[in-house]
Amino acid sequence: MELDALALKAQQSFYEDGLADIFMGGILLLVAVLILLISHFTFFLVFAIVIFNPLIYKALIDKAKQRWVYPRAGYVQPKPLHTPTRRDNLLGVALILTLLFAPILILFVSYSYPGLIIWVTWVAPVSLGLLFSIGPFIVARKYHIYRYYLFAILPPLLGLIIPWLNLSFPSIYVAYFTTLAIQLSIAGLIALLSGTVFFLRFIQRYPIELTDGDSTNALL
Amino acid sequence: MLSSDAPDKSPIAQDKLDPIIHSPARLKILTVLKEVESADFLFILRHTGLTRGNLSSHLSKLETVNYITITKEFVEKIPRTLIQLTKEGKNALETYRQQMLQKLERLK
Repeated sequence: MELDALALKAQQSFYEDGLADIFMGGILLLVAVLILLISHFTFFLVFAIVIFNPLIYKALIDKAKQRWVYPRAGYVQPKPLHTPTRRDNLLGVALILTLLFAPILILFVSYSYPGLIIWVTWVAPVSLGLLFSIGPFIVARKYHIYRYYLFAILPPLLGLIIPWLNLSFPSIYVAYFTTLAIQLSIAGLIALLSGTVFFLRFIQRYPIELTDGDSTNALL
Repeated sequence: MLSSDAPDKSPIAQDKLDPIIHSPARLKILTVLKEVESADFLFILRHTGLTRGNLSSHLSKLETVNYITITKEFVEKIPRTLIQLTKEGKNALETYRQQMLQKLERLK
């Protein structure tokens, strides 16, 4: 009796249907589009998405699982990955704000244009990419779901690759936001594709079984 | 009042294996439940590979000794039966694990 395999499979089951990948891909693509549009309103939306991401995630995933997953594979409430404290949340928001507005801060504080270029070209894409790696990395490490290592590596890796391509942009700010948008949209697209494949496989593997009423009635 | 990790809540003597947990089917059920917050009948059925009748009877036994709780709720008018490991169940499983380790150690 492989109890360890049974335990691991139970832990992994929440990610088996690919819906979490689809959600992650969708959010990354949405953020990328909003960043590309560059306006006060879209920036406000990006912050709102980043801050309320766990709530949106829970609501949408619950709804989708209720519709497609629970009737096929049963309901499961996984143990929380990590319960962030208020300090963690504040630290996260401060970090994101600092990274997004660092170019403006550097220019206003030091008037160092070369420093700004180095930041925008090499530091910002990788560090912003790393921010998007934290969640997938925790999932990959804790539950041994190897595709999440790819989701964790992609954003910072793309942050290294895109500057090598030497794309030309009309201004440094456009370069900054476009690089970020390209990074997020490629990572998002890959997560979305992977999620779709896993979801379709899941649907095929677990067709809805017709039973005589609620299968759990026997218990009560 | 006993503390939450008091081993004497288990219905077994110190060295005797808990007969409730020692059954492979119930051990499977408790292992699955230990890894999640809560799950429903279908989820446990899929993961343990038991038949519906078998699972139902084992769950009833586990509920009788208070190792699990079974609650019924309605989500958008659809019934959902939630099964959750209790503290007693968690402690009993841990005691069983330690006893098994000791027994296997003695076999060396």
